[in-house]
Amino acid sequence: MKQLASNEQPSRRQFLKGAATAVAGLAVAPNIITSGALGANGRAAASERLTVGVIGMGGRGQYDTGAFMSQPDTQVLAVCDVIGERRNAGKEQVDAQYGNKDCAAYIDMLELLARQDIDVVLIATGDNWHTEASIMAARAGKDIYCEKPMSVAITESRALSDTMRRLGRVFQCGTQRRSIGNFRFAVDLARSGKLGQLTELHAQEAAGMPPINEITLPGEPEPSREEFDWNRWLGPAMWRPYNKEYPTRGFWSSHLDFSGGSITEWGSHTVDLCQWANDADATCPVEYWKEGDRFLGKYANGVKLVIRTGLRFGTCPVRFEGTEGWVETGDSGEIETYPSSLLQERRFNGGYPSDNHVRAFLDCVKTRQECVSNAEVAHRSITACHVANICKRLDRPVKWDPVAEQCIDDAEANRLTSRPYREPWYL
Amino acid sequence: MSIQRVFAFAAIAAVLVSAPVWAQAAFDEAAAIGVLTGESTPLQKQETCRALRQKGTVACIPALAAMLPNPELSHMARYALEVMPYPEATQALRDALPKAQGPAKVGVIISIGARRDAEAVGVLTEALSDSDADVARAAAGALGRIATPDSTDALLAFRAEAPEAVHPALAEGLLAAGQYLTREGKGKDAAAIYNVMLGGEWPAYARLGAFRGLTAAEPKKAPKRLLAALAGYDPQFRDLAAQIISETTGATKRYVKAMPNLSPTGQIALLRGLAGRKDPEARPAVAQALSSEDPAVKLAAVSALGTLGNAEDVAALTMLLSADDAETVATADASLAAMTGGDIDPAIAAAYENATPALRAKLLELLANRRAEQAVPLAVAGLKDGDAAIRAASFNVLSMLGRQEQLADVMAALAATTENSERSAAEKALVGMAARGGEPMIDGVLGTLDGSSVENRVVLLRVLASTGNPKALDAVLASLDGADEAVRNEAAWAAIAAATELGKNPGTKELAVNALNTVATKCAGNADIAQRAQEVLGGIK
Repeated sequence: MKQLASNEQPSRRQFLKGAATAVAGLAVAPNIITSGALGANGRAAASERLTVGVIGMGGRGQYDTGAFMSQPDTQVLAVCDVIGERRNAGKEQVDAQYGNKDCAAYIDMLELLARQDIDVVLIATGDNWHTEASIMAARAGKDIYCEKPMSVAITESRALSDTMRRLGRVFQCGTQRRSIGNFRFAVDLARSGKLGQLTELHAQEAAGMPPINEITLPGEPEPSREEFDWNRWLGPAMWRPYNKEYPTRGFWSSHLDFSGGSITEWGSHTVDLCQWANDADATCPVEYWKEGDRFLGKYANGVKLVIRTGLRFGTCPVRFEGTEGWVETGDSGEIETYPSSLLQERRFNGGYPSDNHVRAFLDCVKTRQECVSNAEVAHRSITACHVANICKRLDRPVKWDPVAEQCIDDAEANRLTSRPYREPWYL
Repeated sequence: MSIQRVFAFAAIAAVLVSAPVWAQAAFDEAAAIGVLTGESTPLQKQETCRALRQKGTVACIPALAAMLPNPELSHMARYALEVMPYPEATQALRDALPKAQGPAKVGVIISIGARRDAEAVGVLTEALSDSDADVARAAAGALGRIATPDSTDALLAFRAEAPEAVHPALAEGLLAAGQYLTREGKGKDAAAIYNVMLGGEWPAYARLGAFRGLTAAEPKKAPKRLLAALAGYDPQFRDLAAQIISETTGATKRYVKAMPNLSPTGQIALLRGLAGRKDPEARPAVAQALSSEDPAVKLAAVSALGTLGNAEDVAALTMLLSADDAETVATADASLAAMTGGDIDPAIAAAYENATPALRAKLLELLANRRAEQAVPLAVAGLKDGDAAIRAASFNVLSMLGRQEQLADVMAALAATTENSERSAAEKALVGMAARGGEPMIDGVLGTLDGSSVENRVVLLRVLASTGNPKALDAVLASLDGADEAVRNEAAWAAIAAATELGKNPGTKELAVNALNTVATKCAGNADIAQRAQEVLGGIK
């Protein structure tokens, strides 16, 4: 998107500051001056750069930070992680990029969010924090790029979407396959009717993950806050004694206090693409059931969602089937269609990874427009994943009302749609 | 996940975990209550609350309620109570509020808000004045969620006396109340809140949120309000109005009619909003804005035509492809590429006829990117054009759209050129055509092979190999016996490249192996080729 020139517009920074100053009711910001201000080497001048704070400096956070720093109009000012090792590595990454020592490093995200010189927050924490950190960032007047999945429970992402709307923040969920050519092409084939009437949409769930669980591990001596701020790592989740196993990705990503296992891990991407293909960004399937090792959903328009394994073409593959053809693609960038002639209309470059999603977000921040993976879109996609997980936990079919956002005549299932937050965190 | 971690996980799971509650055949609630009321450890109580969250009945509520004021046990009790579908759970939380202090009180308020307990408005209103700002903020949030006239009145009344630390929570609570009321069909009540919040004493984000909320709460009045914002001097409201117009439907005529009376910045915002809603009714006004004397308005119109334009706008947009400033050119190009409708491609092709050479090259690229069939005859003619840019664009068109019917034309162009860059462009065109053309195309290429120069035969062999077709591959392999060493070598490398691809597919693996064996045998004298053939062969096997 282009930002159109206007003599009457205040500078973007003035605009953003107006919102941030108004919203932030937090601590006074450290007075840190933006470095590298001259706009050399093809970069925007400092006054026109979007300033970025990063919360969560694990592997994904480091990758995303690189993607943000590769854009000419950004400047990362601060990083935050409750794990000391990652925090230090994050600072080193940013300082190495800019050739200075200016990047601030925080244990507590509230300190980072209190900085009024930060426009945009990248959130790449564990899934447990995605919703709450995003909401707090919005309350602090920031625009937000948050990694997927957007929530651990349905009511969380509903609250997130409502918050973004009422506070007027720009939000992009890290479902970056919406900005990658081969996936967009596949979705376009489905949406344009070139596959005929859609019948089945196949979304791969992550393979090889442990089953979802609610395990409590034995307590171990808690590290110092500098080394690992355990209470902050737990955040809104139920408190328990420290155990070094919890923070390992292989553990927490299947623990229902912190994530949603294989279905949300990849489904936040693949189900999301199915939703888009079915022009269902404002809804999700209304019935869910299990067949063998697959979870099926049925949209109100009759199209089936199939959450499964075994698709081709690398990670996060999808397959869209219609009465006149099908398309299958994945992160390898390979794409196959029937009839093969559908490929003649292909206009895209390459597969994963792509920085386009970050670029699109930054453009929306400047124009104040909705992102392709905005909060409502991401909420609806992850809702489909969460309801499939409820179906898995109850081991029986579940019906879903996408307007009321409740399971139909099913009090037991409805108990699983939310996650009561530990104080003082609230939605 | 590493295998070590999987084993570690499995070991921990085996030691520590009984079946999760959803997998248990029977749940003994009486025993669970005994855990909560007895001398059990906090962790045992916590696991019990986890189970009660899903399975608990009203019977367990007194035991849970007793835990609510205890800071160590409060959250686990709320974990179970907050989601229970019983009024007794609501009552238990309400009753606990006066007994709880500090974080436990904050937590109880959060759960009351989550349950939207309208009978708790009184106690929550009291909590607004709590000296603990966390308690006051949580109360403001809960009152907003409850969203009754009493709760919103309490929030509005408290604003005058609220400490500054609570102001944001108060504003957000009111905005949230408006959202709930609108969603519940009580737009009038929501509008009453929003109208108060449009006042200058509220911070900008709250006024913007109220403005957005107001347009949703009273959709019939929205166009008037949005036009007023577009006509105003506040750029934040103007941008928001544009965004709302792009997200909503209806009243397009009204917006269009108002456009000439807006300032340039208002027009720019409106054009963006109209482009977003994609209503053809807006198109004539947008096309008219192309004539604006304000360059920024004109640019906005060029951009908006990408979604709203039709064939009538093509001539004007194509002219802009020759504009002096790069931004206009890029915007016009993007709009022409994005325009939809069956009559767009013919209109672009028609514009080609009278265009300058530079513009014709651009239009050919544009048509190719649009996959427009009209580009093919233009490209065939363009192969003979005196302008190198047009010839290059023509080859590019044919690489994307050409078929067997254009083979003779491309071969003639290939024969006529002495430029390596054009030979490469011709090869790219032939590879694309061969991929689409099937057997007839391959037969056509084979038919031209013998009469071609050495340089062009090399090109054709690579084209044939790229198809992966057995007949084509045979022809490539047959060239290994030819007299010209350059042709032999090129045929060998092309065959290896083709076999590498064919070897990835089980259905063509044998074909690949045979081809590589042939290359290895016939090119034994060329160490590089023979070694590479063996390497690929090893990889396939």
